[in-house]
Amino acid sequence: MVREPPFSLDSSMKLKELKTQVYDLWQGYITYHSRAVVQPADFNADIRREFGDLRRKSTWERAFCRYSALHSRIGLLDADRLIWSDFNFTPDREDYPYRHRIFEEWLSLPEGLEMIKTGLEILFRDYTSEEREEADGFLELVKEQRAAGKLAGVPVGLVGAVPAR
Amino acid sequence: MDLLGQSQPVRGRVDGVTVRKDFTQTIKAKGGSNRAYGRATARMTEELFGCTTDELYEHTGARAGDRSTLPQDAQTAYVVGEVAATHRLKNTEIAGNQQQRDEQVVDTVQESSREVKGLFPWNW
Repeated sequence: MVREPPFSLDSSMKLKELKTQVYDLWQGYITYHSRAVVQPADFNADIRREFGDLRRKSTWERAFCRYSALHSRIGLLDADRLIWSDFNFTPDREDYPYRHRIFEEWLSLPEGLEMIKTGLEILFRDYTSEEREEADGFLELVKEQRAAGKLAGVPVGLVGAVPAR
Repeated sequence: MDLLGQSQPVRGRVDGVTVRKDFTQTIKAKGGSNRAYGRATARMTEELFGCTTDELYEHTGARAGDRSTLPQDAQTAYVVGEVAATHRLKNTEIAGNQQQRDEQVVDTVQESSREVKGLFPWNW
């Protein structure tokens, strides 16, 4: 009897799950950020207009990354939330395979980089070193970005001050 | 409630940072996802101030994303809102799939915020 392996080499999200997630992010952004009434019937047309052919998985992946970033604009009272929650990507998260694309979408937003800097400052002001270690998913992300020659504007001095797990 | 029995002793004096951490940790403990924090904060802000967090920062001239730069009255209102929401969340059963739990967290925070908004003179 052939048994399914408990993991898949393709860790990207399944199409159905992607669509479910994009819908939740899309309706969340409209409801909480734009403060408009969601028209569910507009969903497919909106995604098609912004991202293209709905039959392609790549369309939904682009929409997922974009709306994940946009969703992080919601209720951003404290920018450090981006560090220990939104972009604290760990392998158990289903958006982990998309972490770099989501983060790059965030950095493309006005004030995206500024918010990361503010978040890091708060992290070092209001949290103990023990608490900061919980943000190691973000610190890994930054290291990977730096290794790829990106993120020149993020103060690595701050990031480097946190010991790796 | 039994104050001594239910509340953990702390070594330091409770301040706004402590209150905020208690609030976010309670959302997490109740099974709220990463999306629940922002949504709950958006609802609390709308109830307490009648605007979004972006608008609050813009109108007060504070530094976006850093609440310690907001006017003192705004900061204390958030402390009250978060204390109220934390107690309400702890005493509310949150269940269902992820989206349902997130909705219940957000609704609970909104209800408790609605109850305390009348304490603040700008809402009179």
